[in-house]
Amino acid sequence: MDARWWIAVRVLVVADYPPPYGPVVDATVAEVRTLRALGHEVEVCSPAPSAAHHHRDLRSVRGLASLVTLARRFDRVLVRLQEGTPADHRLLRALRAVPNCEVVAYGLSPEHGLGRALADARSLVIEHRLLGSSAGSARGSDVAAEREVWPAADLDAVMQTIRVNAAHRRGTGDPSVASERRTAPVRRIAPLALPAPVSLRPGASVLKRLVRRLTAWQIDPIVGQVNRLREALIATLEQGDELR
Amino acid sequence: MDRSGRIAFVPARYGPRVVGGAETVLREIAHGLAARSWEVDVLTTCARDHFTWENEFPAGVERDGAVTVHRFPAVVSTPRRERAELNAAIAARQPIDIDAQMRWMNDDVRVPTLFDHILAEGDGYRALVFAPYLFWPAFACGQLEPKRSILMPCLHDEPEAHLEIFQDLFSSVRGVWFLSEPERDLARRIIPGLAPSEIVGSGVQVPDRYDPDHFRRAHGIDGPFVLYAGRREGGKNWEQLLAGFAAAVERDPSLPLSLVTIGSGPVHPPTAIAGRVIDLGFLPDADRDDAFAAAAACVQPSVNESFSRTMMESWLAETLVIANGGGAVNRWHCERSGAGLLYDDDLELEQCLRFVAYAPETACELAAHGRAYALDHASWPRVLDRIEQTLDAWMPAGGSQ
Repeated sequence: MDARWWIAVRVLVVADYPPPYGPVVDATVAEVRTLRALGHEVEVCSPAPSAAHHHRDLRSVRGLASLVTLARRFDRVLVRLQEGTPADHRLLRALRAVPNCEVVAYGLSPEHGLGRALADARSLVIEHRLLGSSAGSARGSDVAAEREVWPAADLDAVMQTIRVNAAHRRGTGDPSVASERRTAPVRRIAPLALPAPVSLRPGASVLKRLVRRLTAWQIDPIVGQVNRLREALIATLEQGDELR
Repeated sequence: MDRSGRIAFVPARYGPRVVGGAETVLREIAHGLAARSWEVDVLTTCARDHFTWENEFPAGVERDGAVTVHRFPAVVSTPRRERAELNAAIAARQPIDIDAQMRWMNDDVRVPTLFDHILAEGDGYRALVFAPYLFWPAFACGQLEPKRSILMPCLHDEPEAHLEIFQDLFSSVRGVWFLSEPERDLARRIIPGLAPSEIVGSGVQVPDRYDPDHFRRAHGIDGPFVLYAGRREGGKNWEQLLAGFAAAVERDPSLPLSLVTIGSGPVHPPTAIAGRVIDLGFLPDADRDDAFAAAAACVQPSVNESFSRTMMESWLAETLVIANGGGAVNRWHCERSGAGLLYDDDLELEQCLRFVAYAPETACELAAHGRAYALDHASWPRVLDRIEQTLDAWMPAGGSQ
């Protein structure tokens, strides 16, 4: 689970926004609704005038510079691109200057200019989705939505649903078979956790808790860093397919 | 089948309230063979607990049904300080030389009088069966009468299994009994010169009936729950299960599941889920069977399994299993039974719990496949048939007289 989503954050969504509507726009709206329901502060920036809070020209130098300035005011930036989004490779180049940026590309073929640029953009978290896939299953998805989508009594189908739902929680989208196989050995190693400061011997539990408290300033950052490294390794391995 | 000659089983612990898969399997085999008219002895310690090794049972000879039990005092004569230091090095997979490995083995419980007994009387047995590999009785005594010795290692991929000191034990005995194919595959990978072996498997007793309602009434448990049955200790990933369950509840506080746990060892749930964790301690067999039947699912977080009795017991009760995918034996059983879910991290564990909580009818449909699998793969009569065949082949009658 991405620890950055444990608390409410400020999110900028960069995407086409209604009107008009369409499958990808609908998905973006659903994602915004879901994120707000989870307590996050969400604003939207669209490339064309719309119901979004902000509009920036994603093909001009001035527009992209303004976008980067805007994006740096947020904790997370979620970019949603589709065929027809008025943007090109310069957008991706500009987004490298934005920390905590995630790009989702809906059905962009490699022949599309942006599709080629995505293949080369290794510094961003990039995910490809089919048109029609639900953005409600992205990070911060509505808990209740997952309850209803269990297949019939077929073990393979149930396991696939488990893995897909878990991958969405992890924030990396639908796992390919290859990426699941690559990451399983790392994911099976549990996050580093200190043993419970308890003991059957009288008084020893109190002593252990005291020692834990006194050493927390030194131990906790190490534990946190080890777990961040683990998450980063999993994310890197899962991107292996998309970056090829 | 010539059933003449005495068979000795040599576990480190034996008796009532002894919790442990290897110990339980060995006890069942001993009684199973005794029921088939074999003359069976058990040579063991007076200890019940494998942490303290306190001598709780009296030394001497006693009867346990058709089995004669010889108990010898467990001796812990050092503060085990070096053992603790070397445990840490072994767990970290640091290389330690063979002398240090020997000191590690001897700086823990020893049973000198058991050793002397086998030294003096060992050639009077047709076969001596040692289990599990990791404890001093198997290590020290298993190489006294190699031509009459069978090792039932209960092996899993833990750091100790890769120590050099165990190589001779695995290669010098007359034969090795494995409980599953993944266990044998592991042994073949890490033990060059492995002695002849056979996958004998293991069985579980099939209850005549289940009464989940009685279990709920007796323990005041309403609502769905997942069950953990086994030793509550780090080596079984018990704490990891607690953390995973707590994380799932944190993400969905309305998740309608409790965690019921039975077995030995302390339970220290995180404060946030203390109200959802129900510790029933050690239960008699009938009660335990009812617990399996009442559960929405049984969780197996341990990756250190050579057979996993709890998975079989769960499937006999037609209860779904949720197992840690890091265990080769867990994967082997779940993939073949069609009645087990596998998880590789906390998020997948959470999804398994959500499936059980929010799609209970579908979970029951899947679990129904497990009973047929367990009846097929954990049948004691078939296990005992295979065991007798190996005894006949490896230690034919007349060799020990």
